[in-house]
Amino acid sequence: MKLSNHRNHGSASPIELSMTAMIDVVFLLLIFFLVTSKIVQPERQVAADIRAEMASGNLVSTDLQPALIEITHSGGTTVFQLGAIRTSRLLDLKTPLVQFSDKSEGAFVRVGDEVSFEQVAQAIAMCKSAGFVSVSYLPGD
Amino acid sequence: MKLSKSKRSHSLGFSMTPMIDIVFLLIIFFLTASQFTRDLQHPLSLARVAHGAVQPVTTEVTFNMDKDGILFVSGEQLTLRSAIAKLEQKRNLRGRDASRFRIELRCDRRCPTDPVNRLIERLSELGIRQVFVSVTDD
Repeated sequence: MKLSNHRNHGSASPIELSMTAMIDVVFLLLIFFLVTSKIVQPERQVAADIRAEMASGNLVSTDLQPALIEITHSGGTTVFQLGAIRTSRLLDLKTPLVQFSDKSEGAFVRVGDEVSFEQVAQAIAMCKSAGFVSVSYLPGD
Repeated sequence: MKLSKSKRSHSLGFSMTPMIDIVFLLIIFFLTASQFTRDLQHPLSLARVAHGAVQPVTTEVTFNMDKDGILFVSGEQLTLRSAIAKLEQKRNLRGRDASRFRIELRCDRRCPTDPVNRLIERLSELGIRQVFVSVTDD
């Protein structure tokens, strides 16, 4: 009975690659990735300065009006106020923020209680994208 | 009955199969370990912003706040007082200037701002001047 036909020849290459085992492992790896992988949304960051001690006082020492967005919760909706502009849509403040003359002093976001955090993060990010050097988070009273 | 024909070979054979096995085993180990590390981050639905966010920087401490305003630090649920105590301890151990201490704030987008405001006030009292708010792209 002949069980094996394998024979080492002197001319054969000393390194032999078994494809069957390698394909087994590769498929195992593929299944591992398919089972364990999950879609994660990439995170980004928005830097915000903290100016808690200035929350109720004067924001800047100059006579210029600061870029101060006040976010409050009133009558079941969130209200954004920038100077004389009072709106429930944050996007309405984009143009005035972009057109703001002096951006070197930075912008300020005063946040009242009972507002959802997403609107605060969006306000900070909007100030950043409008070109303000820094954006300060002021916790409301 | 002759079962096998034994022949002594003088050449050094190099079997690739066990080497590939070990290499792939190592790859799986490292990938699994990195997955565990990522899972340490508290799963939150972060605020979505269209513009203004940048690539994340490395921070020393991460405060996670869920939609109910409950605070988690390193996977552990903490009160504001204990979280601040932990932060102070860490700062003292490192011996660094508080204003240069990097804090990451990961808040759920539905989180009310009341606990966030209290946290910011306490961080300010500690001398921290900046936080990095985590967001996702809209």
